Amino acid sequence: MRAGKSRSLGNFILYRTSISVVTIFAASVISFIIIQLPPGDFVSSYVAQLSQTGAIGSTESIEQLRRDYGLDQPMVVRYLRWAAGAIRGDFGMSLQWNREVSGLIGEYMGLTLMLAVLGLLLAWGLALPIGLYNAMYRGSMGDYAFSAFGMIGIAVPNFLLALFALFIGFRYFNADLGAIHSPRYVDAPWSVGRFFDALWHMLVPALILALAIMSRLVRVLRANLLDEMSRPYVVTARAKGMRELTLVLKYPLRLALNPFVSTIGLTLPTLISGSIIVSMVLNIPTLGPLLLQALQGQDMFLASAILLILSTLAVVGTLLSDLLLSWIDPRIRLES
Amino acid sequence: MRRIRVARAAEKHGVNADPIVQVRDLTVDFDTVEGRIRAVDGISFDVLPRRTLGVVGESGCGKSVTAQAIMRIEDERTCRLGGSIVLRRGEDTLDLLGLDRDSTQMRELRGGDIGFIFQEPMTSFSPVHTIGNQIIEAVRLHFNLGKPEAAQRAIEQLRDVGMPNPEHIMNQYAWELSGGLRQRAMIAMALVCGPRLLIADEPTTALDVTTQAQVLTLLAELQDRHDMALMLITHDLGVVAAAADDVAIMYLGCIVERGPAASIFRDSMHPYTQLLLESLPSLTRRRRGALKAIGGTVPRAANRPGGCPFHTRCPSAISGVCDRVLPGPTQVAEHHVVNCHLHDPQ
Repeated sequence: MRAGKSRSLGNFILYRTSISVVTIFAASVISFIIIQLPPGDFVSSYVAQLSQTGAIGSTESIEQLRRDYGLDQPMVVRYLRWAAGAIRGDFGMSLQWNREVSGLIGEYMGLTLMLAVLGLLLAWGLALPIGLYNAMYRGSMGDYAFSAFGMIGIAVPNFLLALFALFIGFRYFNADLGAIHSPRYVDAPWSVGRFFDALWHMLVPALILALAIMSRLVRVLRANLLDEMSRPYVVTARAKGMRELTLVLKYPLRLALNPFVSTIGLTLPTLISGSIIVSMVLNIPTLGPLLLQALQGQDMFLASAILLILSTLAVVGTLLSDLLLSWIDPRIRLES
Repeated sequence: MRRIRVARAAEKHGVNADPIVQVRDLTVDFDTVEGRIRAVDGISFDVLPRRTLGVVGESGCGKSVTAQAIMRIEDERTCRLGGSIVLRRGEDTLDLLGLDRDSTQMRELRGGDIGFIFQEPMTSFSPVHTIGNQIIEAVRLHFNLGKPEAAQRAIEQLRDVGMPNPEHIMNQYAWELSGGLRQRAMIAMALVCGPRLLIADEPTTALDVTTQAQVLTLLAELQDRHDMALMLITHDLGVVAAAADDVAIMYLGCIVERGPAASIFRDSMHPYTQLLLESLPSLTRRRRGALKAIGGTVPRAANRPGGCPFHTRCPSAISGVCDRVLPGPTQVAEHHVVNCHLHDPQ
């Protein structure tokens, strides 16, 4: 039976991973097609730009441009070319920036991931104790205070919070919240010092991003904990003579964590795409504003690449949370 | 009815021994949206060492709440307790209602001196922890043992309750076991710290009939082997008839009749007890027609009738008396007490 258990866990991982690969493939097709859906392409918006400035290109040169970028080929061929490159990490050229997409994304990726992971950790780290407190002392002043605060966190759009923070930082602390690096690190290469400096400066933006997610998690955790705390197995544990806090941590919390864990996958891409406006307001160079620009300028290779990365993050996040879930809940592992 | 009982020396279960638990004037009130509702209305009884006390009553009569009060696992948000529950520990006595629920002393008693078996063994185990993990935890809460020693003890206890292949069961989850094995695991967990009193709250209700008999026999054997007192809470008079030495019949938060099982079943005095006995199906006595049922329904606890709680359904109620005055206890035989105006000498 022991061997059987580990075999079924192995099967489960294999099964979930192969599903993820298929999902990523489907996501790549969709993100490629969606970008091509709007009428016109990069060349037409490029030409529109040119004609505005008065330099009107000939029809031939336009067609030449299309051929150069491979835009005259059927969609399938274009996709296959693009996908073949993407597997090798070559996402083509950004038409707007006239640079390699991979290099461009790589430049923005570090700060983006840093902001997202920091935001996620803050949301989790704060939601866990607050949700636990609210459930254990439901109906107390603290519970009401945290719940009211959480409502505000959900209701206020985060770009507004960003504006507030920007104003307060500027007015009272004479600090620019958008500055991710201290002056001495601005042009310095990445180092441990620069990393922690950036981390420190990202605390407020990450907190702004984390607030809404945290508030939602607190509500979910509180409701789940209350649900679990009235289950018979809790009374059984109490009847064994367990201390109340130990009991809540070992039994109801463990079961209430399931929905908590299953949100990781969805939170990661939300954090990145959700950071677009906050990043714009605070002027932080992350993938969000880059994606927005790419979409506006019909810079399809750049936009497709970012979309693919976002959806891959979602799939990987979901895979991770599923594996984590099967680890903390044997029922999921053994039923599949 | 066949008695589920292991032969044992007569002096082992004397009626006159000092009780392990003395419940006096216990009241349990619940705060609800409809106001404060009295679920248990001043009941008194003793649990004697090495004997089985069967507490019988319809659902809602307060029998489970009484059991929970002894363990102090009542719902602390809504539940208010009154009276006294005195536990004897050697020469010392201890009023459990005077203790804080989460105090060290109460937690020592809970699961240490008193074991508890729940009705639903499926939901009473955590679905994400193995049986072994949960029993080992019980051991280590009360004994200063390392994990391997505690595991050894858990395995021995599982074997003691007749669990086939206990080493294997240790690594299984409750939902992987059959109902009977699950209840055996639950019994093992309740017994693993060697309690002097085992409270079983409807231990057989969730099981099918053949498993019920097995579990009852097992409880009787274990009680004998470990010299425990057993408090058996059930709505099934058949179970009590088969297993109990003493019986307390509850109705709407009151004990209407209590005494040694033989005396209660031979000479039941309270009309409610008599009606309950008549409504029992029997394999030995031939009866024609449908089973007898007690007329009417149990009044809601929110509007308890005045006087004797049973007078609204009692065929021999004396109007002007039973609906006015709560009957006091009357001793009708040795240790046999009934709360009924019909037997009140005044």
